[in-house]
Amino acid sequence: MATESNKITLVSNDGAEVVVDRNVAERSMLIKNMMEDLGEAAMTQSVPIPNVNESVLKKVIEWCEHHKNDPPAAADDDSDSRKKTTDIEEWDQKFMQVDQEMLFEIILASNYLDIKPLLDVGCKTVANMIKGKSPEEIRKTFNITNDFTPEEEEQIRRENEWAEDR
Amino acid sequence: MVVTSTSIDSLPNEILISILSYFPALQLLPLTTTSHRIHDLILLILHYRIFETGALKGHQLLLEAFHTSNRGEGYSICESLSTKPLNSSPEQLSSSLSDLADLYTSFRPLKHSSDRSVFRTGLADGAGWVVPIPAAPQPSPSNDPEDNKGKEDKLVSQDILLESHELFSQLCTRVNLVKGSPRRGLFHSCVSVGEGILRVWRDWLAEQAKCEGGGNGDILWADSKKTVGLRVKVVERDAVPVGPPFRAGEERDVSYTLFYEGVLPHLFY
Repeated sequence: MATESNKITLVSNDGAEVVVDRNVAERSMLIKNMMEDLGEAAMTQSVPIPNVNESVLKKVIEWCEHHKNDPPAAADDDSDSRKKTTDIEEWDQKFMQVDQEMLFEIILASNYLDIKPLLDVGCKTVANMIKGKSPEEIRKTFNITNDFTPEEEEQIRRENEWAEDR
Repeated sequence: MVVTSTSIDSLPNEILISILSYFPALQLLPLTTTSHRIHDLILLILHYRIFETGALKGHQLLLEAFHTSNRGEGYSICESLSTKPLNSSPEQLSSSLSDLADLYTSFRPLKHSSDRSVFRTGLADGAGWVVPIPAAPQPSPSNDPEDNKGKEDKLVSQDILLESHELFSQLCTRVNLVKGSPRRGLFHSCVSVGEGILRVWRDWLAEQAKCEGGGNGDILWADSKKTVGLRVKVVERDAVPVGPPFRAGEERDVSYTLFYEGVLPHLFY
């Protein structure tokens, strides 16, 4: 009985219902706050997640499931960028071995659902894909159009020269 | 229904900024030629870092300057004055990366009210940087450049003695950015902004001491890359106790006091 009442139903934007433990779903701050606002009523009705489709929602829940017992992140969010690393724990690395479309969908979903640690893992994954690559390789990897004229590119290169020997 | 595939272009700016923020400045610069959007975001990140650090939000800038023959005597906490280009007009908003090269934040080292009785930083059993924090810094001195009365008292100073055979004296400078923590005396993190050894030459000291107000505003650079500069005021001290009488052609012993008027780190990281 107790276990039954601890489940909630999420509905993806393509109409799929996903039943999930409340404590798992509450890795999402959006859902957690919604639950707190709605109180018991939330347990009896399904929660629409309009920005996320079924496959992405399931993937995100898989992550929440694995991380449901993580201690809450420290309130003091250290924004000191110089101390940031892009290290990712092994399980998360495997989890992120998906095609680029799914990767960016996960990032967008975790941003929308407000799951900060998952968003961080996503950003680190992309950062690691950028690391060590030349602009040309980055454009190729992510299919980015070079919107600079050769003159503009040359000018930027000149502007950057001062820093080269630093 | 239009099927659009989700790509890196679908990410909003704030997410791209978090991704790019993992990189230090030197790795970001080459990426600026990837696309206009990435160029503009990188410029934003670097500017933000310089100004945010310059404003010392939640951080403290510490200057250590000591004679190379001493081990560190301690550090001075610096107050932030302003961030602006060294040479060009101050209020011009930099729109290109080359403008960043010229953007320095000036800080003024403050004397501790307990004067210089401070201790060296050091790692205590890996728990963090344990340093006795001195009493709160004195209120900032008047910003009026003409108001030099009593100003020297507030400036951190360093005595330099050049014996007759010495042409220069070497000062070790270290600038660290630290993040304080609620627990007094414990630093969360300590980031080195720059360090170097600078030489103060006998001739230079003599020249500076002669200038009106104790210096011509020259900046002493602690390293060739101009990562950290010092603005100092030089005052000759009373004659040093005479050693052996000096002969013609031999320099005499001289003694100066350097007052640190400003520290100019280039907060490019």
